[in-house]
Amino acid sequence: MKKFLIYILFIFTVASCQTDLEYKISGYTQKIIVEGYISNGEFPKVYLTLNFPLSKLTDSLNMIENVIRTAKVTISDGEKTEILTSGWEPNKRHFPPYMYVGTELKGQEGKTYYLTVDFSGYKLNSTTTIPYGTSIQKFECSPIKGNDSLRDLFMTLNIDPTAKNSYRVFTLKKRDGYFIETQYVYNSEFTLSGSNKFNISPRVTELDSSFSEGGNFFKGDTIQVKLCTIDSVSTQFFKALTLFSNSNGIGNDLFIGEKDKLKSNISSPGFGIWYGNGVRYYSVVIQ
Amino acid sequence: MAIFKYIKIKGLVSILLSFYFLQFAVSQENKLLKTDTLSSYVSKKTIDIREVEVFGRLKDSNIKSGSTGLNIDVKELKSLPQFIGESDPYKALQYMGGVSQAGEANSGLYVRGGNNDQNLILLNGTMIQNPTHVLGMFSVFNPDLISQMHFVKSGMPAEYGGRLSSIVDISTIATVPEKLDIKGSIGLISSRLSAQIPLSSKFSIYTSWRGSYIGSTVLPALALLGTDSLLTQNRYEFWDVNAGFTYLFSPKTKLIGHFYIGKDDVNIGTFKIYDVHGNSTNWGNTAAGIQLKTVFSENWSMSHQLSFSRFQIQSTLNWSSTDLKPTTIQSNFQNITYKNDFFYWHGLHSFKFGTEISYNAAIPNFVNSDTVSSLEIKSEHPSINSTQVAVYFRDEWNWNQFQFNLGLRANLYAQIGPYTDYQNQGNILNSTNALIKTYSGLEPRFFSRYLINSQSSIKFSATRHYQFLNQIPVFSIGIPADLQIPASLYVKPQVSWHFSGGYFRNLSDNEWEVSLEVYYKTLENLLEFKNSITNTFTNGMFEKDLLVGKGWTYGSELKVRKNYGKFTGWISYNLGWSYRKFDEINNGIPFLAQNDRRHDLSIIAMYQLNNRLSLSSVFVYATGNRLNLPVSWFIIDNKYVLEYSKYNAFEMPAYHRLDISVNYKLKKWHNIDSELNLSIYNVYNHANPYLVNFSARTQKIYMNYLLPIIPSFSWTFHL
Repeated sequence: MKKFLIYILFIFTVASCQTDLEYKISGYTQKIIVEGYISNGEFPKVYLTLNFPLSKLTDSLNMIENVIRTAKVTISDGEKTEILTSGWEPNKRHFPPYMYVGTELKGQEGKTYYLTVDFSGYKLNSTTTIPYGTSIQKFECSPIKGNDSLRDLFMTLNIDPTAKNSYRVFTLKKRDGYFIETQYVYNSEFTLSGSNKFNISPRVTELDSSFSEGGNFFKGDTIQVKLCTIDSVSTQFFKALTLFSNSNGIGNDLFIGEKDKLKSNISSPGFGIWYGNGVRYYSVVIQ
Repeated sequence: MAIFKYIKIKGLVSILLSFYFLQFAVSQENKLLKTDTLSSYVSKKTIDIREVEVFGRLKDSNIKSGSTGLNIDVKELKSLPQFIGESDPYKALQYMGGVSQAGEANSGLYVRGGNNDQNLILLNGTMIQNPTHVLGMFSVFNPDLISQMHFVKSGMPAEYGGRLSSIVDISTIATVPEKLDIKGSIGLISSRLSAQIPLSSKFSIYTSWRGSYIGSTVLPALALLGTDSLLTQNRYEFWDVNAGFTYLFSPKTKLIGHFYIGKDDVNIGTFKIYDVHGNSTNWGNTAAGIQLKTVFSENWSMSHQLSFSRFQIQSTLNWSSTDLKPTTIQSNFQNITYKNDFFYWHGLHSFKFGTEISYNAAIPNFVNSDTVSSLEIKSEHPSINSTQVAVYFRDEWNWNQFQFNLGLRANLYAQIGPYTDYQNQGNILNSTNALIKTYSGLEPRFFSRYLINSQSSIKFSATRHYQFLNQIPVFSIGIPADLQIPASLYVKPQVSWHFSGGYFRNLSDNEWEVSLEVYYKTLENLLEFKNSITNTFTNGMFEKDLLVGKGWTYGSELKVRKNYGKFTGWISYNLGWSYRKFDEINNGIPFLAQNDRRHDLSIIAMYQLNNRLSLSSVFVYATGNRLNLPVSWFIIDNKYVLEYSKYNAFEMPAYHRLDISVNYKLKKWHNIDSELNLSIYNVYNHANPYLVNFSARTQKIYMNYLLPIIPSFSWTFHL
């Protein structure tokens, strides 16, 4: 239904004319934006930026100026503490391009991790737990109407309703070379239980090299699938994030989340998410 | 209800009868000859005459009209400029004062700062849930069939209930004509035809049809103009049918039946990004009712009415994947009401009392989906069934220069099973007809009018209202995706107090009318969705996504009207504030409602050049709606995120437009009276916003507008 309604509104947008308006924007306050995660078997990663006022035109220069490179980022599991080292992010598609990464503490399922960020006299705190990961029971492919070479990919999960976890799925096509997230945070309402089948087609953008395939996969391709199990706090954030942002711009233009704000778990004046990932990786040949 | 009859005798002398004031007036060529009060004479004479022409308003209604609201002059509104060849008296209510301009692609009624769902729309006494066609651009009411339109926005008498803001009571033809009466119109996007057929001196039937052909006219034209094929590949049509009968058992007993069915159909082609491989959606109202009206004596009369109303929307989505079966989404609301009213006149008192019993069945959403859970759609959503009983009594009392209307309406509302309590994790299933939750409420109604002299009066009213049936909008534009959410275990009824007062003055032998009114209204238990769209359609527990808050509105309305002469019209200016307060929105700080229109001006002018040619124009100006806009942005998880300002802190650009119209009566041809209408909508081509937002691509605030200058032409005929 959501897709349909988005579509109807898109039609309205197409049918209408558009013009720019001169608006005076006020009410901006600076925030430290935090994006940090720790996955089982992997080192933590944290990214820090400042938010950008809309009253000021942004170019590539002042975008870099808002990237925080002088913060002290500390991770603790309650027993061991590590100050993360910083450096440029090798993934050129990621913003901000500067990261804080661990070298000693690796994530473990079921464990709680504490984040502290010291920057410009402010101290930000957050806590998260890596949930126990869920395994994919099986993959299935199904043909697409009107195209013999394209397939939809489905996964089946066995969901434990008492865990209150949700699932984010990323797929990697060889041609892209990077993981693309699917459109949904699955079980974000925590209402599903038992065996459930999900379509895990990626949400491609015009920037992706596999855009011509759309949200499908070519028969015969080998696809990497990354399943992330996240807890209920992270679920609230990512569920809202998919609404606040939409890679093709329609979400941004029409469905502004004005009432239900993004639920940050970072203390003020910070904003963002520090989350634990119960990760499983798979390799699938599209049949 | 006030009933006015305007009877033409040999085209020269006219008698205007008012049941309500028990008065009559004799006039010749618009000059008043005589007025008097004689109730028995009035009632007897009216019944004996078969052919009457219903006329909108009493000459001095501005100062004398009571709490029963305004009788809208439908004929007058029909002469106003048309939109794409369709005249729409219902939409023209926006010009009447106290009603805000809804804006582009929206025919909602926002009365004195209230919400759109707070208006009770009645067609021959039957509730109409969604009164719009074509994404809110037209109402569902066929203008040829409307004989009376009654609008109550303050001092609501006790016989009306169930809504907080206003009543729009529309009646279709209920007379037995002398001969076959056929009317019709041919326009750019739709045509209509209606016929009233007398089968005997006591029995007549009527039927009408209206249908569109947008796919054959507008869309090819848009395609020729190079409009995006994403739009022109789609199809959008609407139709509606009315039928009814009037049977006169005797001069004092009348049976009236009516039936309405209407549908809007949208068919959408493939849209790759969203995996949609064709979609069809249709929605519409069905309404049927039967009324028995009896006059026992000069003092006693009664009416009984049984009515059925249904609104249904259904959407079928075909997915691009062959593995996914089509998804069907339905929303459904049904209402069955029995109502009786008894009238008793005694001396200076006019008593009215009665009961209203209704049964409502609402299914906010029913989704029939494949087992594939990518949308996380639950296949079952709770239905909410309820019954409601209302008993009312009111006395309209004329005492010297005073008129009082004192009334009380008592409501008892019960939600009944079966009901699935998704809020409670135990998923309690209540058996059929089990009592789940009851609400009750008393609604005192007070209205007073004091005639200062024959040319001026003051009026005051204080009324309380309960509303048990809510519609919560998902969009502000015309898609009828509002969720029907009646009061239930978790949803309390909306409640309101409404205080209103004003000074009314007529000048130059009632040629000019001036009025100044002020009002204050409180609103409790208002509902909002947490998000515009988010989870509303993808989980069964929509009740947990509701926010509850309150509101208050106040303002003033100034109206100047010229009633007679070649040049007629009115100016209506509203100055109003409409606030809302929700604990979970804007950190609990009060904010201006989306439909807060601080200034709202309507100027209506009509000029009769000669017997054939008339001109009319409408100018409207309204302060822009309130909206949210972002103040900053950031990137997280490689996603672009906007941070918003205080709630509804921004104001859209003002809405204003000028429409003009020329009507030309053609010479009678083979017994056919016909008229040509040329209308120009939005004469100076002003871009009125229906959507204002921030574009991440351009980093600018932009505005979408729908309706540029639109000339239209129509031919209406009557034989």
